Amino acid sequence: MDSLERRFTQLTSRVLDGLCTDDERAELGRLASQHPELAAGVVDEAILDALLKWHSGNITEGFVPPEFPVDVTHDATVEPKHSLPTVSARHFLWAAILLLACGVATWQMYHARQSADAVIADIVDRSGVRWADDSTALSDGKTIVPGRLASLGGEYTLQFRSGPTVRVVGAASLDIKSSMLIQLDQGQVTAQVPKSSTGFTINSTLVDVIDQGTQFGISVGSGRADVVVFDGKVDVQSKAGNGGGQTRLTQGECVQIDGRGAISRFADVRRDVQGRWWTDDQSDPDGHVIASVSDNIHSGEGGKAFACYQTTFEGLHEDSLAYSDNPHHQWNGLKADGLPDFLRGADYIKTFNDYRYMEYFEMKIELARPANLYVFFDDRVEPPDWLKANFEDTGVDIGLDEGPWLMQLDEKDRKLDVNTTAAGGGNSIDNIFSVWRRRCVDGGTVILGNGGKWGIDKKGLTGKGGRTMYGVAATPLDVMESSPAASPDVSSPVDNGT
Amino acid sequence: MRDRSTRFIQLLTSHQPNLYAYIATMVVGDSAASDLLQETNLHLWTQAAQYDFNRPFLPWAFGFARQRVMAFRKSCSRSRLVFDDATLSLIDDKVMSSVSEIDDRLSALQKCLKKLSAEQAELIRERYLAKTSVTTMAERLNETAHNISSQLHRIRKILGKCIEFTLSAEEH
Repeated sequence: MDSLERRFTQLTSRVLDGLCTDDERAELGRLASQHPELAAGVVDEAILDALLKWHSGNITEGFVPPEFPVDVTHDATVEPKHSLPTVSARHFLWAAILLLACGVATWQMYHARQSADAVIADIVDRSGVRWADDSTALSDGKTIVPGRLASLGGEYTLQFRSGPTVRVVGAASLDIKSSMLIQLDQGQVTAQVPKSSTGFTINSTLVDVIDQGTQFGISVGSGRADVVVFDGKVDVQSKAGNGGGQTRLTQGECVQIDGRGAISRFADVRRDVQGRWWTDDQSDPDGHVIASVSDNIHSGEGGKAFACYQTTFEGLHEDSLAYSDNPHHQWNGLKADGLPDFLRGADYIKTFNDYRYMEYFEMKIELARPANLYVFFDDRVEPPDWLKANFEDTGVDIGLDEGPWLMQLDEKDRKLDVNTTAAGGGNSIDNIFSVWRRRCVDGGTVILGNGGKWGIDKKGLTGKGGRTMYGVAATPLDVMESSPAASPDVSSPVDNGT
Repeated sequence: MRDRSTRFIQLLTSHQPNLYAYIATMVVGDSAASDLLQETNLHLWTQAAQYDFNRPFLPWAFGFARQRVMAFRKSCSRSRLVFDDATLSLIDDKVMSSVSEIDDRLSALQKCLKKLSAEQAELIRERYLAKTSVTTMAERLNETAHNISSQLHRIRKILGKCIEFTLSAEEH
């Protein structure tokens, strides 16, 4: 093989394997034009590539033919109609289309049958799982092939060999169609998708969620579907009702799609102890301190249409992420010994940083039991009346390690950002927050107010400085040993004083 | 009348792999191939009443597939295309001829896949069945993407030779 032929071969493979640059594609085209005798090699390998793809199946997956303004029963010798078919003809048309779709699917299934037994994922973690009898995707108890995977309870994690990780919580039924497509018929899953698997899709009867490089969750059941974006972004395609609309959601946004296809905001999302997975099925719900979170913001206000809060039970630790809409900002202790003992392991809420400027903002927290409720408030901002009236400054401060600031820029420009987050307490602290506390002896509901007035700038002038949204945490009231001196008891819902 | 429609559906269904291979080769390396197949199916369906059952189906259907490919080429940037119009016109006949008897090729491919080594079969499975990107495969196997692509090229070449050998053996 001479060097020209070798280069031809190399470029062809790079094109077929999705590795080529625009320049390489242009080079292959130029060589094919100059040496048509070598172009035959491209054709042979491209056809084989197509055969392998067809043999592997799912080429025509998702084919939903529209209604055609044509009567297929019409004979070729007669002038074709251009009007809508009659009702009976229309019914027949649909039957024919269905037959076509089924025929293609059957053909593909026939040719892909042998390769359908191939393993595409592994079960890497499971707890208390009871499999349903129709779980055809279970290959040997640990590996997954395309098919139905149904659980009656428990939790498990699928690691797809192509990259995505999927955590399933509680009773759930999935039809695993390929390494890029899952049909979720019931249950709650969280998907962590690497960039190389962008386009990974979870379908349901009400909505399709198409990953655009992210961690997201989808829950299906009770005639509705909920979608949460924990990181990155997804495209959500509503299928019910008039449906058809596609909505892009970014980090910190959550939507609920009902049986009519209507999309609305839902604000209260829970995550597991490590803050990794979306779950409402906690092993020890009696131990939770925070029962629910809501606010007075309507969809579309504050720049984010579908903002949500994320409660992580017993989840406040060093480097815990602070906001649901920011992937970097972390809570830390001011010194190397980290966060104060009385805050470690507290239930905490990732608040929505974009709401820090909304003067009429109110946040409602329902407590499940007697609790110490903590608010971490930015020291650059004068504490608002609602905070001073109902909370006591413990005298303890913690820090916020903010990390990169240029998130809104293009990825190439973000590389210029020298700010990074650091691990552990006392490192890379950007701003200091005072820890305010309120003892809620009967649990109950507490209303918090806005994020305060403009902060103090570097010259000490008020009105122009920055600020960040406050954080919220709660511990059971009986955890008092290592906490500062007690503040006044509060046992009933109170006005926030704003 | 219904027989006519049923016959058309059967023809369209049974020639899907031919149409896919034709389109995928004409837009070599572009992920739009499956979408173009769907568009071609829809176009063929709307023209079903015009089809003359006394003529071979595939050349007629390739004409619609070619239209979709050309429309796609006009709609996307030049940098996305490999072949210029003149080269595409040159290879068109070869592609049509190669993919016309594709059922036999698919059957031969099925047999040839079983002859691959376990390592080769795993690479093919991961790339085509699991639809894993070459970059991800390279990361998992701790190799360069170029090496993985070279290995896939060699396997495709082995499979190509095996298919030709199998088809010629069956002819004799």
